[in-house]
Amino acid sequence: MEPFSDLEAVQNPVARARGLANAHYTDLSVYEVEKHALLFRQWAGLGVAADIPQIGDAKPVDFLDVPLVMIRDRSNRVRVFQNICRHRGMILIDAPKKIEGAIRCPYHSWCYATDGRLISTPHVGGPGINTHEDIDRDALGLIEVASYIWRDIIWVNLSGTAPAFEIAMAEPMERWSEFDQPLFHGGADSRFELALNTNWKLAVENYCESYHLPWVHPGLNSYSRLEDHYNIQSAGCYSGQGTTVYRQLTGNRAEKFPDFKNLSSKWNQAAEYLAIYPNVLLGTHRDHAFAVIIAPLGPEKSIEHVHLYYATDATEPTLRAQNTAQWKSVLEEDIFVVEGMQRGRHGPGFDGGRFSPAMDAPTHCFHAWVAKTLTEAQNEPAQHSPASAFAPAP
Amino acid sequence: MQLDIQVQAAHARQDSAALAELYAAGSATAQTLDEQCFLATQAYIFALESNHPLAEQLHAFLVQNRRDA
Repeated sequence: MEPFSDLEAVQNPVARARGLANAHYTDLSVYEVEKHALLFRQWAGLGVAADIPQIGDAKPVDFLDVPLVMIRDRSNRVRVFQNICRHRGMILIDAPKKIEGAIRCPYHSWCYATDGRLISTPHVGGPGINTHEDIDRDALGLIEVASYIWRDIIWVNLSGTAPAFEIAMAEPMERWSEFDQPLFHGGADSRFELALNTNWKLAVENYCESYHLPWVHPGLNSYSRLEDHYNIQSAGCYSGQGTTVYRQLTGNRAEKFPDFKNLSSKWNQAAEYLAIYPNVLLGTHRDHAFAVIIAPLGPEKSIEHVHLYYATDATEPTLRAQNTAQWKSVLEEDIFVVEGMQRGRHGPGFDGGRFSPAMDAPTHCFHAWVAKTLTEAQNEPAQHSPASAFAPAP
Repeated sequence: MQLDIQVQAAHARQDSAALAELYAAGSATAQTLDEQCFLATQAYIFALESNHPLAEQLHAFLVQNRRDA
């Protein structure tokens, strides 16, 4: 496709920058380019380790049409594989399940260990003959995808070309190092999904800034005012917002969630909300945290997978349900905004828009990252060819 | 014939452990080595899938007869 013509203007300082042009939200060919540059080549959120809590648990996930499966192997390590048999490319696991022993392909029954090794090739040399000199099992294990667990999220780098996770994510990991302690998923009542008729980037952009709070979230703004918020931004990695007046949820009997341990006094009343590029939205507070993994489903469709976490595994169910309902309500308040902006991207007169220099810096930070990353990808066309990506080592 | 019916039923309910045992029983009474190894292979695969203790001896049998590695 033609090189993008809008990326230079996006990378101007926030006061003079324009936003990304309409095609970045509506055009299928741009979506495909961005899929590779902005998602496959980065550390993207895929799912949560809480989805596969026990050894042998497996959950298939199609990520941008790539069939993947998350597995907790026999040594209790979470791994992500391409969900395909190395024989005929059959889908191996089509629904969440417990792997009792081996992963058996339902087609010709080639079997894999939970660590990906090909361990049996029945009848491959003829009936009752399970070896063949030209079938090297050691070279035909499942294709593993680079993965890392941080804050219970399973992050994946499908291209295998990103820097090590701890390097790529050093800044947000350091920023929230006080919260580097066990997170307990609240369970079935602490997860929900929101289907959005919007490009995934608009969900990120809206999350970054507090500018919209008084208008879109008047309930939140009633105690955490716009002026109580501050911008957070780190070029090329993450951006977001913080508040200095977090108020704990309190139940009818004055009960509260227990705090995370040994936090500094800053967190008595502070809370922060980070968009970790490309597709993960995080929030942390003294007593709970949440994660939103945005799964793009096309140029104009996305789904948000929301998970809430606590400092212990023994939180009060009623209060937990109340907290889930509260956050669901807040995130639902954003739906008309992200869907309205998406519809607006079909207006041919829209030039990407402008940013408030005072209020929109976190959103511009994301736009600038998109523009910079796409510019770099344009200069390396061979490295994000769909045909060559994710192939196993020869 | 009875074994065939049991095998079909176990396939229908996707009972890998039962399939491992049934195919292993079939292998034990098969008339030729080829037939034994075919059925032992079937048994071994379902034993692998279900983490059935038969897997080890089935594999040993197949290796002993140079049908597996």
